[in-house]
Amino acid sequence: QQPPPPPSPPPAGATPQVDLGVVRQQGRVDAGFRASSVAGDQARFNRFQDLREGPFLSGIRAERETKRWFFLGEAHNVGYRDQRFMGAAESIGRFKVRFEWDQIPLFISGDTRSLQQDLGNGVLGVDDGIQQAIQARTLTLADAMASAVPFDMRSRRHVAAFDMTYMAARDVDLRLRVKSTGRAGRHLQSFALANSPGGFTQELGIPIDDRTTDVRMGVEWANARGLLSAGIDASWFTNHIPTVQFDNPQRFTDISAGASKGLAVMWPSNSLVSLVAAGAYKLPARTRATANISIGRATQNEPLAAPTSNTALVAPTLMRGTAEAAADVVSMVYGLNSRPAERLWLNARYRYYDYANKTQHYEATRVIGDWTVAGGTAENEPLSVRRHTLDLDSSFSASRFAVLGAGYTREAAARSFRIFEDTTEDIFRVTADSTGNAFVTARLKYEIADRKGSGFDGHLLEEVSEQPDMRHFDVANRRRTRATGSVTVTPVAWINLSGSIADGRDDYADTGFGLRDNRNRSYGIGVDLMPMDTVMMGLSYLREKYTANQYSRTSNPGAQFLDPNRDWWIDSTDRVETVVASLDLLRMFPNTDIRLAYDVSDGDATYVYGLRPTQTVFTGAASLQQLPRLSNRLTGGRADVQYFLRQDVAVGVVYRFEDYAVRDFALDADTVTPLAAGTSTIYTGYMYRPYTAHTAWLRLTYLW
Amino acid sequence: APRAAADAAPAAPVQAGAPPVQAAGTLEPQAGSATSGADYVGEAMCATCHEDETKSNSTTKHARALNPRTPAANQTCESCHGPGSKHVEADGDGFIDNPRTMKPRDASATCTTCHNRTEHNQWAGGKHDSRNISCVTCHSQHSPKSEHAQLKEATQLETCAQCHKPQVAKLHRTSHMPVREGKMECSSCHNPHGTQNVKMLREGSSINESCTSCHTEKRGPFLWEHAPNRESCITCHDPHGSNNERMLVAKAPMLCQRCHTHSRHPATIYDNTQLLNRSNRIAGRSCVNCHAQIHGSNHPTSGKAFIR
Repeated sequence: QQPPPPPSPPPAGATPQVDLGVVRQQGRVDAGFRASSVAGDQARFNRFQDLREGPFLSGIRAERETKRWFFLGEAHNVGYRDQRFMGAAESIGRFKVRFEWDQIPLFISGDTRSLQQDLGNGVLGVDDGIQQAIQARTLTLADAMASAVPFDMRSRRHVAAFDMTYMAARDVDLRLRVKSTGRAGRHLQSFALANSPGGFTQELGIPIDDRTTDVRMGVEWANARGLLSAGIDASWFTNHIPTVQFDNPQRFTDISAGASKGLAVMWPSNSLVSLVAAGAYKLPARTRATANISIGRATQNEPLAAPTSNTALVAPTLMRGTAEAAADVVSMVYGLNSRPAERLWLNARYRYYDYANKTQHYEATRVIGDWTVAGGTAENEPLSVRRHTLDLDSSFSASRFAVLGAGYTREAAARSFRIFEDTTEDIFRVTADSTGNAFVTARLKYEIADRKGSGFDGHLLEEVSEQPDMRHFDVANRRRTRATGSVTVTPVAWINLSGSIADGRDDYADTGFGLRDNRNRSYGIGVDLMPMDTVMMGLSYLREKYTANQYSRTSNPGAQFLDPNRDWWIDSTDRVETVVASLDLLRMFPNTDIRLAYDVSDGDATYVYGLRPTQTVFTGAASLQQLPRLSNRLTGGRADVQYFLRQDVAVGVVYRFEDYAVRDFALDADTVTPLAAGTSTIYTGYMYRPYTAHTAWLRLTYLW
Repeated sequence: APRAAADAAPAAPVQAGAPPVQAAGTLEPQAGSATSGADYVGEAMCATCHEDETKSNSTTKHARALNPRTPAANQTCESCHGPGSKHVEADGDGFIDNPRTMKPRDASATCTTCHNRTEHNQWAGGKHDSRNISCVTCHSQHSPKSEHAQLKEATQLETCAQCHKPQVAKLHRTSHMPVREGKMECSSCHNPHGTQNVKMLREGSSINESCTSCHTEKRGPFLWEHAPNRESCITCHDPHGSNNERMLVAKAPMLCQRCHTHSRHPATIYDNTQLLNRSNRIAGRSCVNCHAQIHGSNHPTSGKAFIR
């Protein structure tokens, strides 16, 4: 094969011989009216969207392309809380710019109430009269709750992003990305007050107002032989409400065992700035070497808040005035990929990741919440982790489309302030894949992994009164096996039959207390049919089951701590069945598109306690009472009918149905209401509630 | 007669300012290529038989002749399919490279001749490459169904769901990322073309760096660190969705009790009796009713237990 002769460059000053006319000019817009009816939890239905009733203007997309320019504009759900706008322009072969404005709502609850009024600047307050009356016992908290004020527990992200790529030369790009994400609203959190951690808790609508600014810029050179790039990635998070003060509804004046106010420290402002570089080079024998390096520093140096808001406590002196928290983050990835022979594929990748926590030693006299000075001191534990990961993979082409693969991974990690100083995991895997074949696509994988820890530090367990045989499952010795397989058969061009199966197990054989076993199994089947160009249908079913076993011991310090008769365990099971069905009839009927879809996700979970026959946890008349079953079922249906009056004008109706049924023992109405459950907790009313939503769009679509 | 005798004369590549050079933009011959020894014949010749394909190509980015990196600025159709003289001489029977029928890795090598920059730089050796997935498994140059990225399916979610059904099914769970609602896509977190991070995560160099690229408030470092938050977010959360509050992998307090078997309240049996008594260690949001700053705290005196 001869390389193509290089075409002659045009004479200087000559007009390029290119037709600069319009290549494409098209667009669409949907407008009309949306009707909505939601019975039940409106907030959960509209958690990340805004499908309120009213006129709508959405699905707007306009593009125009000439040989020299490309423009694109998009807008969705204009005027609603989840509206999005995007605009892009490209001078072809020179530069492209893109701007996006996206709003992402987070609607947690529309049925929440609180005695706390937002007084601004991170201060929540209860009416003084209520505090005084409850303190004087002339008013009960339960009665006071009658004056709780309803509020929406919601927030919203406002994301503005600007991207630019300038093609400085044929092989060189300059890139810039600036993204600013503001977040404001109320967030659900709860804090404890009174004289013990579990004694009295109140849920709050915590005001949030923060902004993340990301800047990424770099230069990249690439051609057919290789690539070099360098740049900077920087991100700053700024919290405009660094602390939140809230009132104790039960106290107006401070006493040493109970504060009239609590002070919570919210997310600290922080930054992460990294220098990044990447390279790639093509070597002989279809071999390619790559390298990625990132060197960065994370910092957080917020002023430390007052030790307590309780004026009746003798506030301990702080060791320093700011957090002085920092970490050096270094990441390197080196890869070598090769196809030295027609049937052989080899890959090696070494990954290094180092999070070196440089936060200065900090020691403090412990104050539990704002209610008591606990005595003793606590020291911070600036966790660091360093990982070395080596991946070696190979595959052999058994036929034109099928490959057999084998791989090995070794990950060695060193950590500080964890029970194992080091862990090493060896992972072996085999794969068989057939892709690109018109009749059969198959993917099979079996993996076995063994993780071992060393440098066990029992002192870390001892100092927090932890069982000595406790092993944190994220670093514990573990034997993992996983098998996955999926097959798609296409006996004739219009039929797709698919099936998948997965089985995975994690055994923590050396774990005495904690998670001992974790297993997942799933299988799925599906069929996709396209009997004619105008008809497409699909049906799939997936069943998943997750089980786990964990072990514990109910004990106080002393004799109980070592008493096996106080042991207990939980066998947890989580099952989910998912069905997805669709039917599309596109122009089967004159000028009409019909799309129908249905899906259901039906899950239930159980947590079953077990005890030894000789157990001494429950005595006398008391006995173990198992928790109720949990269930979640989300059913959705959608019918979309569109009739084209002309080639460019269509009228249509979309109907969407969604039904959510839930039983969650911890978050249902029986458990979290009334708002004041005794004096232990004041809930805002956030809970898991069912809903049934009907939404219909009457729409006019114009295309051009 | 062979179609080579047709009127269409081989067309020279379109000029776009700078002359094309042998670089990204011109197919590097694959071993065993069906076009070995052939010469370039030009787009006009291809169009004499492949009118539909030429037309479908004409409105794609590949057809932007003013961009010297595109096929249109180089060998047009033959940038991807290889030189076509033998194909023409054989009356269209063979002697041409068709990514749809090539070995998957040969097809990928064809595409990555040009698509070798940031987004695609890590393709070779990436997860998808290792499983013999090729570019044309998901993308179609001549008959795409999606508005963006020329996917074979109408949406990115449908594309990914073909293989990753369990992950997509989790989007229907009570607690999920806003993918179903159209505010995120699979590619918001993953780069299916390969990345420097694990799990083909787009951002950062660890799972945590990926998560905290949006959840920057949880990035820290904190004065008081909680180990799993520094180690890996997926110790506690399933980012694809869960029926538990806040996408937790198990319900609290049971999840917390997988690591905390301390004496006193962490190792208490929170059974139905405790539930009926509305103990705030199981009711509502359980442990985080009090340990609110569980991702890490900056409180100078109460941060150790993540209470403030």
